[in-house]
Amino acid sequence: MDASTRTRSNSNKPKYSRFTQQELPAWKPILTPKWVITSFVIIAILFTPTGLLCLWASEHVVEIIDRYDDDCLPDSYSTNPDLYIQSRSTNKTCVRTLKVPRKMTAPIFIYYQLDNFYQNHRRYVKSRSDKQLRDPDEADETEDCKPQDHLSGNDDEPIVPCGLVAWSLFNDTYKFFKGNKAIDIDKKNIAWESDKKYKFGSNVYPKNFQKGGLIGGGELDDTKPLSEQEDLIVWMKTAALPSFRKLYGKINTNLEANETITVVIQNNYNTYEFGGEKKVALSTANWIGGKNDFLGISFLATGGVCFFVAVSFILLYVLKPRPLGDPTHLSWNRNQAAQ
Amino acid sequence: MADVGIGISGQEGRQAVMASDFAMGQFRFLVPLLLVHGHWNYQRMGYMILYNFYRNAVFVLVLFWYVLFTGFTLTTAITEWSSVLYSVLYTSVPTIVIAILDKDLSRRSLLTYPQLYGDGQRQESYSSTLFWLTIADTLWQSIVVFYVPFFAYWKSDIDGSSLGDLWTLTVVFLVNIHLAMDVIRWTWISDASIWGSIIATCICVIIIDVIPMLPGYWAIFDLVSKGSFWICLLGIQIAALFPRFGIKMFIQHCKPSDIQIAREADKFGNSMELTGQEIEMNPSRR
Repeated sequence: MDASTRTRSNSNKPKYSRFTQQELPAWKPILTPKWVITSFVIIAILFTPTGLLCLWASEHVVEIIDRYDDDCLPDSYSTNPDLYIQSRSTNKTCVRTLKVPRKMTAPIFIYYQLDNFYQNHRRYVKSRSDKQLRDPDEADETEDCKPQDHLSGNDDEPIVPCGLVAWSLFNDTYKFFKGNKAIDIDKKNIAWESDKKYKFGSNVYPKNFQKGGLIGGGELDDTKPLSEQEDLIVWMKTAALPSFRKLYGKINTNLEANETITVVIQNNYNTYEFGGEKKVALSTANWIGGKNDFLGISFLATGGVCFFVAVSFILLYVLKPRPLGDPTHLSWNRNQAAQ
Repeated sequence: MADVGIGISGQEGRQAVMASDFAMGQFRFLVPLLLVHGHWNYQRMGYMILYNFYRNAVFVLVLFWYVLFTGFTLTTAITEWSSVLYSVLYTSVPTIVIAILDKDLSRRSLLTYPQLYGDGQRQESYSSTLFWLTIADTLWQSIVVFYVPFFAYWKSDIDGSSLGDLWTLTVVFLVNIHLAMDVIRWTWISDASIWGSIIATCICVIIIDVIPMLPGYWAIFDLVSKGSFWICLLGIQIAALFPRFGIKMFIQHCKPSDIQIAREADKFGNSMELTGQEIEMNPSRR
């Protein structure tokens, strides 16, 4: 075949495009000393005031925490707390006094705090049936709830709501008094709206709940549908960490500084068996949430370290400068210079 | 002992092509194959291996730290759907795009200064030291990602799904911003893949939390209403990345590699020739 016709019709050269030839227009940033120092200084400038702001917000939250499970155990039962807590005839009432350190403005949130309680244990988290909670026709969907799925020996009687999460419902109660006057506790709207509307059905009623041999926690009112049982809904939102608090109610009046609040507690819930701790907490809230100094301190620390690093880099660039693109640093030139 | 076999396909037939790793049509293609594509390939592969170890390890280490606080049972910190989508959607596209497209030096510089090929021969993009440094950096970043929200929300009323969403978003942001810090050549495709992945992650987390059948229903909307969420999210990125950034800039200044100097010379217009000296190829290390 003729050479010229071959090259014209059989050219194997690929079609040119900027993408396939890797020639797309690009930005090639190089971080010069100026940029390095600027970025560390900017971080220090942004983080230090943010840290101070977080600490200031945390300082403004007023919090009262009272651990009561140890003091509310009568002395005669101190070696045998399980006997005390599991018996129906012992007196579980306990009276505690709290002092308000600073003025607390409404709404004041009442929490119960549990420590060393692993609501994030895998078997515990799985032991529930969301289908059953939503739909009365799915009452038999109790697969994951064993052993709290049916009344013992009777497969026709499913427990609604089934599972360990519901079975271990927290059932201590708190009543607050200022002097002799009872303080109103608002127990409405303590659960997420989304849970009340979509996860807990308004036509699902508790059935066979806590009727077995072993009582794990509180009982439920059979006449109220699950979407109105806000304590249950709050409890069933399993906490992420082993030390957590859950909303019990709200106080919609202010509490003045140095007031004495009396709390009458029904100490029903058994945390003695596994070394858990129970606390009641009253707290105000702002944009940072509850009282927590950690974020403020860590931001301040990071800002401080970045400032220190910025200063070190300034010293480095002043004491040991290297002109950009200087060919004397190339490895082959360094070898040549050494020879 | 050769590292790679290259065959010529031509008028004598294709037997060499069948037995070789690379094939070309003309002998003169050998120079750019080695100096340009060989160099780019080495640098991309080395970086990608280190980055992939980092990307997967940082995610798994967050799950590991959480296990210490669930009574050693395997409750996942991050919801199952997000765990699956992490490797598939949230972080895979930028990895692939940067691995294919990122160039550290232009073709022209590499052909003009063949000594730059010595970078690969001296194992400057992947070595045992670099690997262990990457693992140490990964450990630090996972500690920051896990423990900052942990201490911020200890003793609060946060639930498992919300904290999991915070960890998911933080890890994905972190891994993509880490990659963004290392990209040498930003094309529109790199921009689209990195920022696009971050946006896709946010959309996916929102979609996952809008399905009532899943346990984390509505968690993300409750989470974004907390001021502490935004503070954690932004603060963690900086705290996790600034050691890497600082050390990288320090080494770049005190012990610059040939590639770094060549890049600076390219950008700021210095000539890399020292006047009055001859340039010869470095002997390769045995």
